[in-house]
Formats: sequence, C-alpha cells, structure tokens
Amino acid sequence: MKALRHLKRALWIIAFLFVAGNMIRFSVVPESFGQYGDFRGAHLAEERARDPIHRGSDICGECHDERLEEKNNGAHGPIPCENCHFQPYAGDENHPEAHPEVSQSPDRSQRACLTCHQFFPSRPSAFPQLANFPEHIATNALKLNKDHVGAHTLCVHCHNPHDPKIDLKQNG
Amino acid sequence: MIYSEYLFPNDMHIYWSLMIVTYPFITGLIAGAFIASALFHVFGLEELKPISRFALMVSLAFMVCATLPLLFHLGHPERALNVVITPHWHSAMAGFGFIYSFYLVVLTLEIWLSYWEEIVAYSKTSASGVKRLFWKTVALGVDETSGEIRQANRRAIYILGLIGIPSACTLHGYVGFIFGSLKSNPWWSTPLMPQVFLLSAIVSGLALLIVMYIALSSKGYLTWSFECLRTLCFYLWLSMLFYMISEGLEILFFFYESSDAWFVISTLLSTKLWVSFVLIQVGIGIVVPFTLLSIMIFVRNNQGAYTTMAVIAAATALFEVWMMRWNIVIGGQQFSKSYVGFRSYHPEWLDQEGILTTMGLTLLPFLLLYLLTRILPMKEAVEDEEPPAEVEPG
Amino acid sequence: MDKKKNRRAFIKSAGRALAGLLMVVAIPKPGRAQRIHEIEIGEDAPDWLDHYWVYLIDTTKCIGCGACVRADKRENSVPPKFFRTWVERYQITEDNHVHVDSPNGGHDGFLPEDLAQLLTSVELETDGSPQGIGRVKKQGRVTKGFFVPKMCNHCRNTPCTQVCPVNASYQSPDGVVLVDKTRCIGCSYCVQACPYGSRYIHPEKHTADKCTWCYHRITKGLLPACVTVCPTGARKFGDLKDQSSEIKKLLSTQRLNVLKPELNTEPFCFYIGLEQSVR
Repeated sequence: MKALRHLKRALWIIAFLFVAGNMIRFSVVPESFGQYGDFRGAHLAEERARDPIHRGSDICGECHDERLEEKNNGAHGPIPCENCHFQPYAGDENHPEAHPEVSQSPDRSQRACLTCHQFFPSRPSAFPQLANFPEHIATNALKLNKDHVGAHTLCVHCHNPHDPKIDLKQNG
Repeated sequence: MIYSEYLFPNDMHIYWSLMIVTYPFITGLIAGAFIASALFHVFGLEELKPISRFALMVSLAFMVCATLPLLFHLGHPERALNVVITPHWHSAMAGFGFIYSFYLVVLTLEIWLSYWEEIVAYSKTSASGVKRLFWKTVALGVDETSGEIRQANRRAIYILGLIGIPSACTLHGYVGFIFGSLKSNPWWSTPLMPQVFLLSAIVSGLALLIVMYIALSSKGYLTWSFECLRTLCFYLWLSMLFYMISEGLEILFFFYESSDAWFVISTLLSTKLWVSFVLIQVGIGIVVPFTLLSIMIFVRNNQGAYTTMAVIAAATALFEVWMMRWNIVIGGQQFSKSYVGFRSYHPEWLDQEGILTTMGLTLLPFLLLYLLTRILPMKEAVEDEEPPAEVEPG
Repeated sequence: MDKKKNRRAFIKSAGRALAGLLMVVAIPKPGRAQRIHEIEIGEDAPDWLDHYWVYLIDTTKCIGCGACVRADKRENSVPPKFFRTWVERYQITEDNHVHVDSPNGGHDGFLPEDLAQLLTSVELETDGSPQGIGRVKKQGRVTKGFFVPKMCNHCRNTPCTQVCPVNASYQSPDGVVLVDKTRCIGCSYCVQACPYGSRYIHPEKHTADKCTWCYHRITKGLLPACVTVCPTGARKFGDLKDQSSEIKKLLSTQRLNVLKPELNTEPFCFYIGLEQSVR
C-alpha cells in the first residue's frame, strides 16, 4: 500500500518516541524507588538521620543532678527541663557551647507560670489554676512577705519552680 | 449548634489561585474546539465545514499553552516531569502527563493530515531551500497527493476524530475529577463535577469558535456561512442546557440533602460567592446567553440581528465559563476545613500567579494561533479532486 | 460472612482493574504492594521498621499550655504562622454557641496579649466567673470547655498520599505519613485533600510539609517532641506491635474517637473524650 507510506512513517516516529520516552522515563527513576513501597526508599533513612533537639532531662542531670532530683520529687516532676529552660521564642546565648539553645535564666515572668496556671473554663478543673491573680496575692503573698506585694510580684518570689510547694526561704 | 468563626491555623492561605482558574479554562477551550471539529469530521455535520480545520488549529494553539499555568503554579516547576517519572496511579493528577501527551499526538496527527495537500505543495513550491526542506521534513519525505492518499487520509482523520472525542472528554473530565474526588471539600466533592467541567468546556470551546468565526469571516479570513453559525449556536444552546441541568442538580442535591456540606455551601453562596456566583455567573453568565440562544432558534432570516445576538451570547458564555472556574477553584478554598471559618482572596497584579501572568497566559494562545495561521491557511480544504497545480521550484 | 468478604474483595479488585484500565499506560513495577502497610516485613529489614506507631490524645487532660506547639516549632524548625501541631480551645456557652479559637496555633498559650490587664483587674463577666480573658465574645456562661490538640492523623486510608501525583508523599511501612522533599513538586493537591488542615506548603522550601511524628526521634527510641514536653500526659505515643506498651493497654480499654470519622480516613491518631462539636 503505497498510499499509506506517510502514515506508516508517522506511526514509526510515534512508536520510536514512545519507546525512547519510556526508556528515558524509567532510567531516571531514583535508585531506591520501590524498595519499601511506592516511594523513594532512601528518604526513610534521610528522614531518620536528623539529630533530635529535645534530649530529655537526664542529659541536664549529668551536671545539675541536685536540681533534677529536686524537680523530679516535686509537683513539676513530669515536666522536662526543656519546657522552661528552652527559650520559647528564640535561642539564648547564656548556656555552654553544647546546648546553645538552652537558657540558664528562663522566663521568670508571671506569664510563664500563668500559661499553665491561669484559670480558663476550658482547663480541666482538677488542674491547679488561679482564677484571680490579684486576690491570690492579696490573701496569700501578703501573709508571707509585705515587700513583694503589688503588680510586680512574681510567682517565683514565693514558689520555687523546681518544687512549687510554698517555701519561705525563697522570699529573699 | 452555632459556631463562632474559626479557621484552622494552617488554613489561612489560598494555594490554588488564578493559575488554577486559568488552567481548566484553557484546557476547556481545547476540548470544546476539538469537539466542534469532530462534529464535522466524525458525525458529518457538513454545515461546520468552514471552521473544521480552523477549530483544530485553535485546539492546538491552546493545547501547547495548557501546561504553562500549571508550571507557573508549581512550587518546583523544574520537577514537573516527576509526574511521568514516578507517577502515583492513585492520584487523579498523575494521569495528566499521559492523557495530555496522547491527546497532543492525536491532535497533531489530525492537523497534519488535514493539511496534507498544503504541506506537500509547500515542500515543492516554497521559494527558499530551507523552507522546502522544512516542509519536506514535515511531509516525512512523501510527496504524493493522489486520490488514494486522500482517501486514506480522510479515513485516518475519521479514526483520529473518533479516538479524539473520548480523549477530549477524558482530558477535561479528569480535570473535573481532580476536584470532584476530594472528600475533604464539600464544594467540590460531587460525582457531577467531571460532567460539569466537560459540558462547560464544550460551551466555552463553541463560544470561542463563534466569536472568532464571526470576527474572522467578516474580514474574509474564513468562508462565511450563516448555516455554519446557526449550527454552532444550536450546539452551544444544547451544551448550555445540559450544563445548566448538571450544575443546577448539583446545588439542588446539596440543598435537599442538607448535610454538613450544605451548611458550608449555603454560607458560601450567601457571603463570599454571592456576587461572583449568584449574581455574575448565574445572573449574567447563564441567563443572558441562554435566553439569547433560545430566542435565536426562532430567528431565521435576519442575519444581522442573529449575528449580533450570537456575539453577545458567545461572549457572555465564555465569561460565564471563566467565572465558573473561578467560583469552583477559589470558592472551594474560601472556607476552612473546619467548615466554620471563611477567608477572602484578592489576587495580586504582579505576583507570579497574579493578574498580569493570567492575562499573558490567556493571550499567549492567540498569539500562537496567529503564528500558526501565518504558516498554514485558515480556510477549509478545497474540495476539488485535482491535486494543486505543481509549480517548478525556481 | 465469608461470602460477603469475597464479594467485597471482588469489588475491590474489580475497582482496581477498572482504575488500571483507565490509566492507560499504568503498569506499576511488579511486586510493589498497592497499600504499603500490608507489606510483610522481611527478616533482613532493619529493626526500626519493626514497629507500628500510634498516637493517642486525652483531651480531658490537656491544659492548653502550648508546650507541644513550642517544642514542635523548635524540634522541626516549623516556619512562623504554620503548624505541624496546634491546640484549639473550645468554649460552649449555655445558649449552645461554640466558640473555638487557636491564637497563633496555641503557641503562646491562651493568655491575652495584655497580661497586665489580667493581673491588675479581673473584671468579672455576666455570671461572675472570671472569663474575660479569651479573644472571643461570649454571649453566655461557658458551661463546657476543653482543649483539643490537633496534628496530622497519619490516616490508614490516607486522602493526602492518595492524591500525590509523584509519590513524594507516602506512608512508611511503620505507619507514618511522610513527604519526600526532594521529589515534591509543590502542587499542593495534598493540602487540598487533607480534611484536617494538617498540611501546608513550606514558604521557603515550596514543598508540602507536615507532622512526621518526629520520625528522626521515634526511630531512635525517643518519643515525639510534643509527647516529651506534655506536662499532663495528654499526648501519648507508642508501638502497636509492642504488646506490653501503655498505649496498647489504653487503646484496648478506653472509649476512643477520631476526627471526622464519617470521611473514613481511618486516622491512627485517637482521641479520648472528644466532644461531638469538635470540627
């Protein structure tokens, strides 16, 4: 069939493009693709490789063992050191080289404590929380130390964050 | 229960923006124009002969540009080919590369065969050697235009048109599937979505052809035939009718089922989409062209009035389809997945996915079409049995 | 029962065959399992794969301190204004209004901007309970309130990996939904498909990003950062294959719920005490 010559040629070209295209396509599939399923298997190892940043309280205990013990025995026992000692908003330059992100002087403001202990209707009622901060100061702090009464009174003036049960020695 | 407004914290952004509005719009014009030419080539609607070849060229021009909005949208356009390298077959989007290339091949072949006589003639008569070589390459070294070849071509075009119809439907239906298959989004998630997209694609394709046909034939670039325009307008009316039914059913079911989805959709329609969907898309975009087209069925002799109405109807129908893309793509992202928070979208002028890019990408196919018509004629094939006179290359 | 099962299996395979036919050139490499979690883990597989992770959130214990959100931001360098995990505050008033908020994803807790106002004068609202601290206007007394921590649910029937066109997002054999950032093209289809709003496009990397259950930690025997820092134990994480684990015990004894169960995404992030009003 001479009349079909151009059509045949066109079909050959299409067949060639199809085969060549697919050969290229399969040749550039990443090597580990399909190792564990329909994805690049090497990515699992890449994802695992990253170093953890939160390393837990035990590392802190290697140097600050009394502090850690004090915390662990108190009501704040379940809270890891990092919750307060990691600067929540930015890095801190005060801590030794090993943990530049850890701060020795954490946020001591009222906000830091009230983040957990301010009363909200949404908070579980069994959780210790303050419904009225000025009143709390007026009724409790007043009894302890008259110097610290007022808007500038910090929670940490009366409560040791590592062991928050009232300790008069902290008042100095 | 009454909810205060609340958006999930990650739901502050509209990720699918103007580019994703433009992409189905351009793709729709391809499918629409192709189906118009198929009406002639496959179903033998002789009235459409004057635009049968031109419609194919319109398709090709838009086809080449269809992927551009997607590339502008991707976070990593340089990795776009990953879609065919490691496609995920459960993803509606993964098929795009394959459906697109298949359809491109079918379309190119069909145009190649439709212009066979011209191509062979140019390969012999072009003035410069480079041009002759170019056309010879396009003709794949074959230089015959015998009756036998014509017969074979006509048959091949028929088969290609036959393959092309489901391909065009798949290409556009699948765009609807991308949206319709997401259960996370009540405004998109409906099995009617592929159908709505396909029908609106046909509406937009026919409307574009009507506008271009009237414009180009008035300047003599295309052969004027009132019957051709009438046929185009009738099919526009028909596809609009089916499109309206589908879209209407969609909303009606949402309303009647009155589930979670309607909670979101009713709020959307009365707030964020009140102007763009209810007033503009339905109020202007559907009512005006459909009324005009319905009246036009009874206009038989007054060609001037008919043509004017056809231009208005087609232009508003095109506008309607663009608005429909907008309302689906943007509207579907104007609420948070919490279903109780809503957000606004204001496109930027100079953004990578902004208004200027959109305008550029919408105009680009027209530029391409102009270039195509510079190398191949717009008018229909001459029907005589004689091969074009051979001129010795000088 | 058996018949039903057979029928369901038939419909499933028929559906797959149909889908395969539609995807003309679709010939996946032989031997690749369609659903990764059905893979049998061979003897030579590394032991870090020999787990099946599961997450449990006890909403009755969450105090909304936001420690998890802060820890997550640090651990995973989550870009500002995007969240891999966040905490929502629900307050339901007596007139049945549901007030939800999550200022900055709960990153800074739920205290008002102006703390001084709260400390110097507590204006008691309507009924005398001190609730004038939220950012929402309340029409009546709050009768029910709770916090809901949210994150990627690492669903079994994942709507997000289902739609990823390039296999960049997938479920690991140990049940974690991950994103391969070197393959992701940034089309954000997965962001659209996630019904929980857990995904976002990273503003600098331009790829999809989401919670990984701290995959780099759990595969080294650590807990995810958010679980580590939770002061009340509201967040729990563990291995389903470990028969003696605490989470196994909790999962088998507690009354559980998941988010948007009607979507059949089969989340593997379970909730205790989830209220029906939670979105």
